[in-house]
Amino acid sequence: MRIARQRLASKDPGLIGAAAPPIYPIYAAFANDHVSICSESRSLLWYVARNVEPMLTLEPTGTNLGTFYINQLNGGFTVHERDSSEHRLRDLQSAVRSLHHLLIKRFIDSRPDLLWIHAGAVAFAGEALILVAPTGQGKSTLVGEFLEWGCSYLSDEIAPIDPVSGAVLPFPVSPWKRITMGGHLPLERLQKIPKVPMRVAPTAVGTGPIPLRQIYFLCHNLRLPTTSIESCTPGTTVLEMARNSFNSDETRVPELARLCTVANRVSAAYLHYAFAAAAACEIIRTLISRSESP
Amino acid sequence: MITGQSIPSRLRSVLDYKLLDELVIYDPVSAKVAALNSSAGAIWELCDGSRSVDAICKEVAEHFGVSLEEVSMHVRVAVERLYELGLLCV
Repeated sequence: MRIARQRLASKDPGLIGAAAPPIYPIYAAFANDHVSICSESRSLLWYVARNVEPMLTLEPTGTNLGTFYINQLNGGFTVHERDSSEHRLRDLQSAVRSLHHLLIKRFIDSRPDLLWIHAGAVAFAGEALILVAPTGQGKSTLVGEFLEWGCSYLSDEIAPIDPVSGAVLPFPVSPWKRITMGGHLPLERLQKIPKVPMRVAPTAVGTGPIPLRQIYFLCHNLRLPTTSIESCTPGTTVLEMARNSFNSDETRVPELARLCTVANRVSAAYLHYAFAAAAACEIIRTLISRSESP
Repeated sequence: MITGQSIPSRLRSVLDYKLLDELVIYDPVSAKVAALNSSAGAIWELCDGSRSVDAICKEVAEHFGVSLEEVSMHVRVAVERLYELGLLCV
């Protein structure tokens, strides 16, 4: 009997290895929904998880917006969603980045009612401020400075705004910043500088919608002698927000109407600055003096 | 080239959004967006295909109570800019 079994096994090795390798899941949540990320490799999941660490939940919550897979295959990596074609990537960094973008896009697509702005976001004294700018203007560095001042962390990359309530929802992807040696760098060179993770205490991460108090459009220039804040009209605010929007072009018409609602309600300004620490200090001082004035 | 006799007309596809005293205009076809202050907004409203640039200058001068000479250059510049952005046709 034992011999027969061994023969059967050797004829069809698939029977021996019929048990599929275990698949480990993690869950990243935003508002009431989540996405699942699965892999056969725990170490791969660790790399993915550290990009969305403050968004991770122990159990899936609300609606599952999608299940994504990242695995190793033939010396490379594959990223795909259940029942869809695979992206094959040569290196780990590209695979993790590709998956990160897929997750973010899924969250954005799931909530077309929100304004998705390319911005850092923090909360101070129960009110949110967002730092709007394209890549390379110092969003993450400024967010880091605000955290030093005891602000709550909402995001260093994307600020989802509910135009109805006028609140910013936390989208706390893990904050990363570039450490540069100072001096102006062109965007192509700046993007080649690797980012390092910033530590955020779990208690410092915002957990619910926070009313938007102030919008800053970042204008970084190392030659500036001082920080200056130049207020924006609502029309300019709409233009700047539209320029830094992640919402789909197909929804631009209702989006502009929503941006007008926000711009009518919230004050906005250009923040011209050279050094993030000085700029954050100036803003905190402004916010404190405003909250103290009758 | 915009002249005093040109008759500017807003593109039909262009949508506008009113903000306090400004106007945000958007053309879904070209995806162009522009924000107009109150005077540019007034000029935009008058570009309805029924008036020449000279007639618009006259109306704006009367509306804001300023001289025609003072207004003419501003109107021309605004109409030319909106035309360059592809938000007006003449």
